[in-house]
Amino acid sequence: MTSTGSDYSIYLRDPDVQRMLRVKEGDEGAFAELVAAYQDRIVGIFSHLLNDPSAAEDLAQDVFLRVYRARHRYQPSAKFGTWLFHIANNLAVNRRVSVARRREISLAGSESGPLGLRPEEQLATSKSAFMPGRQLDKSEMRALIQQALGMLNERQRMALLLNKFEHMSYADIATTMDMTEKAVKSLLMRARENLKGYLEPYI
Amino acid sequence: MLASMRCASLLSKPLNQPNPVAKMPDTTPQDDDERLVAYLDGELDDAAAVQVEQLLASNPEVRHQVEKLSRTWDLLDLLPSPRASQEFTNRTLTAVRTKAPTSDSDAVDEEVSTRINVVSAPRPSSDKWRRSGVRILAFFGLLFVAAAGFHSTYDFGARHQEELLRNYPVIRRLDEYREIRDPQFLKELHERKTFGRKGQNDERQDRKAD
Repeated sequence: MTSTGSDYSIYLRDPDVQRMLRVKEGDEGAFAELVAAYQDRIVGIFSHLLNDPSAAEDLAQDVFLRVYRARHRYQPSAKFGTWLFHIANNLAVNRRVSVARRREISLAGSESGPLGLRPEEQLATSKSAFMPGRQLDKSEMRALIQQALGMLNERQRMALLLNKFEHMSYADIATTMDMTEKAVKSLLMRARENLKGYLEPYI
Repeated sequence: MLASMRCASLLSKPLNQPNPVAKMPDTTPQDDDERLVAYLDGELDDAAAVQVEQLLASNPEVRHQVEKLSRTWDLLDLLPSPRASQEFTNRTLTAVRTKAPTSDSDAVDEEVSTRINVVSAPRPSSDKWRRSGVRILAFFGLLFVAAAGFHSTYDFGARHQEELLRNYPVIRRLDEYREIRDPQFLKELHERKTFGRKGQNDERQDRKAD
C-alpha cells in the first residue's frame, strides 16, 4: 500500500493517529494512552499466536518500543491500528525466523510452525480424551480449539486472528501482512477450511 | 454468523477433493471456496453476493457444509481473551525511557522496519540541502577536471609548435642533411650553431663579413 502526501488527511480522522502525532511532538502522555488502549489487543494476538503468555508480553513490549523509536519520522500512511499490527506482524515473523534457526523443527506432514501445546498437554488430547461425538466440556473444547489453531501455519493463524478478533477487512489484513488482497483471501480460505476439517468431528 | 450464512455450491466438498456440484460459471474450485469464505466475511460486492445467495438457495447439501464452516468459526469465541498484566503499562513506559534512543539517527533502522511503503513521504529540508551541496561540488569537480584536461592538451600543443619552429631551419633542409653521412661533420655544424635561430644569425653575420 503506497501513500502520497495528499492521502494523509484521510487518516487524520483517526483519534489514535492524532495521538501518535502528539507523541511525535514529544507528548509522552499520549504515548501512555496508546499503550493502555492497545496493550490487551497486542498481547492477545501474540498469546494466541505463540501460546506463551510471557513471550507474548515481551514481544508486545517490543512493538511499543518500536512505535516510540519511530515517532520522529511517523507519517500517517494507514489507520494507526493497522500500522501497529503491521509492526506486530513484522516482529512475529522475525521471531519465527530466529526460533527456526535456533532449534530443529519437524515439519513432516504439515506446514505448521511449532505446535502450541506442550507435550503433557498433547497427551491429554489423545483420541481417548477427544473421541468424536463425545460431549466435550468447555475447557476440553477450548483445548481442542487451541490445538486446531496450532495446526495452522503462522501466516494462516495471524490472518485468521486479525480477521476474527481485530475484525480487520481483507484490505487491512493485506496492509498489515504485506500481502495482496487476493493472497489474503486465499490464505483465509485455507485457514478456515483447515479449521473446519480439524473441528468438524466435534461439532 | 448463522444469520449471515448463505450457502453456495462451493464448499460441498473438502478442499482437496473435486466438487461435483454445479460450480459458479468461469471459476475454479479454489475460486469458489474463496468466494464463499469472502461472502461469509462480508467481503464480496453486491453482484457476487447475489450469485452466491442464489446458489446457496438451490443446494441444501452445500448449505449444510457452509453451516459447519460457520460453526467452526464461531468456536473461536470460546478461546480465552488474554490480557496484558497489570504491570505491563508501567514496565513498557520504563523500558521505553531506558532503551529508546534520544537521537533521530538511532531511530532510522527501527523506522525502516515499521514503515508501510510510505514511498513519497517528504524528506527533511536538511537532507535536501545536503544533496544539493553534493551536486554542486560534483559539478565544479567535473569542471575542474575538464579544465585541467584542456590546459594540458593545449600546453602540449603549444610546446610542440615551439619545438617545430625552433627546428625549422633543419626541417627546411632535412633532405640535404640526410645526404651527410658523417656524424662528425654534423657535430661541427652543430657547434657552429648552424641549426636553429642562432645559426641563422651567424649566416647573416657571415654575409656581413663578406
